[in-house]
Amino acid sequence: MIRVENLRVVLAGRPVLEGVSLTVEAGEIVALLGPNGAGKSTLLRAVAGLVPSRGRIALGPDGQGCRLAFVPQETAAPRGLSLLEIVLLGRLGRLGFAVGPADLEAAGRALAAVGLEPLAGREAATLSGGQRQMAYLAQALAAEPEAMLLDEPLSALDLRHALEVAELLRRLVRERRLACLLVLHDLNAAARMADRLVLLRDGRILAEGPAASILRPHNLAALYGIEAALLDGPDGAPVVLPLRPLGAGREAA
Amino acid sequence: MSPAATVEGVWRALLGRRVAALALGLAAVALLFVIDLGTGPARLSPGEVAAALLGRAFEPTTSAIVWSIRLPMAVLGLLVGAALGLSGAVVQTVLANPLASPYTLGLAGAAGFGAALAIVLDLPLPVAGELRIVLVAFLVALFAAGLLLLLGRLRDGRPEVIVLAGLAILFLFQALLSLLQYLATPEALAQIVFWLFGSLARASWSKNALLAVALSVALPALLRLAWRLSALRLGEERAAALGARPGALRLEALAWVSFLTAAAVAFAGTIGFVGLVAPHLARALVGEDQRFLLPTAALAGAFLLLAASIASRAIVPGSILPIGILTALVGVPFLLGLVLRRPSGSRP
Repeated sequence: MIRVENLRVVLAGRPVLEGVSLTVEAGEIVALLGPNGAGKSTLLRAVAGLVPSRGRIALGPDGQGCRLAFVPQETAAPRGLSLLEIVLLGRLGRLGFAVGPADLEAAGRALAAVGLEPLAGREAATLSGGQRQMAYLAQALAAEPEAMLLDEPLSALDLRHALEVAELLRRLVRERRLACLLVLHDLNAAARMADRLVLLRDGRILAEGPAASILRPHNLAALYGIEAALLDGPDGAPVVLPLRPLGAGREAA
Repeated sequence: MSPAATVEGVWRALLGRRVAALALGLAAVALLFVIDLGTGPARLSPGEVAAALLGRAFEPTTSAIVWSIRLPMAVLGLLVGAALGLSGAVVQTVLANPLASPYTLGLAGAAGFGAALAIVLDLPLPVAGELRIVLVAFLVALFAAGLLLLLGRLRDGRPEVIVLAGLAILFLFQALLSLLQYLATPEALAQIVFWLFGSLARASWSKNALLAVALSVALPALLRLAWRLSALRLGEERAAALGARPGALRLEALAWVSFLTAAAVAFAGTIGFVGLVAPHLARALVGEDQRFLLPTAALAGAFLLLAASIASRAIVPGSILPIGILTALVGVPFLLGLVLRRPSGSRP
């Protein structure tokens, strides 16, 4: 479980997050949505303890901490490291100088979960962008986390792989009872994938709740400054159709 | 096959390749070490060298040449090369910069100034002669390292800050060195210039022992950081996300590197290029797993320096050129070879 209360982050003298509170239960996916610069990635970094923050961050069922994996958005990989080594590095805190059987087993399970096991020996730099994104997801899984923070986990993926990873994440979160907080730009993917959405604007929470109640024209107008139509999707999740920036005339559009 | 079995097979194959590369490096260094012992103005045959090593030399001069000149020089070459190669690999990793070398940190400039200071001034020190120069060079280089780490610490160990601080230190000590050279007597000036060339001719068993101790302390300490250093190759943010604490890691690794570089430069003078090229050579052999890269870079450094040492005696028969001049000549073909074999568009 991830519980954040009244979080405040100031970077280079500028407040980036202000009074943010949210909870992600075990077995739940919560998606952070908002325009560029809203503080989404900073919120993930603050929860991961990588930027100084004020307020309360409690991890695990009793708030005493848990194994947390944070997957940043960057998918570059250096030359000279195999996919298997990249995945093993997910267990950095537990690796001895020599790699133990438990580490290899965890790495093998993680690679199998994302379907990259046949490529384990390949140099990671030669994988496609989408494969590297999966590789870093496997790296996070190798840590056997109880909570996961993912920054745009679908950004480098084509449509098919994006659907597969979304499905994979949903399954893993359910099966392993992970608390999963992720940043997404694709509203429709968020609506289908996440249990709840949190809208973030200028470092504050604008609204939160299930997709159907949150993805409303007035929220999208306030969040992105756009006019959007909402359609009923085939699986019940709303589908957002962005129409035009607010203030732009119909003739101009 | 289960995922674990497949992965274990892949891992074994990977380890096998890297251990083989490491063994190859070790064999190459051993070969050059032997050739180095057999090369020199005295033109001893391999049989004579071997006999002297086993204590069965016919002439006492042969024994003296091998035991008091060639062997200490070869061992110093081995140790200095290993120290510079290892330091270069760590510096390139922590600064995420393939052009970095131990000298990027400005420590060579500081050691050079320290040596010149000991040559020009009659400092009240408990040691005499050659060791005075070594001691002052080492202390000034350590002082510069302390300054560098302090500056780095003030800005959370960020790489660009460390590179700039290293440059500032280099220019500061170069200016101070120029001032000393300007003020020095012609004899002292000649001595300073010769020191700055870098040479293995100043080798002695006591120096070798000190450098061996420095290396045998620093290598395990750096190997202990190997996985975190590998994580750092994935980029600053990802390394932080994995718990590698990049800022603290960088400062700790650089502290060891500064110590090693200061010792190497104080004993052998400024020997360029080895610290830059050796890590690239090692990387081409074993990749970025720093558990293998660091020892391989040390071997590659020893290999390059021994090759330069052999060349320094073979080019002009009967004389020994300062090795600092030769390292670049020997290193450039390796560097060009690496540039040409690297596929375009790949990350360094």
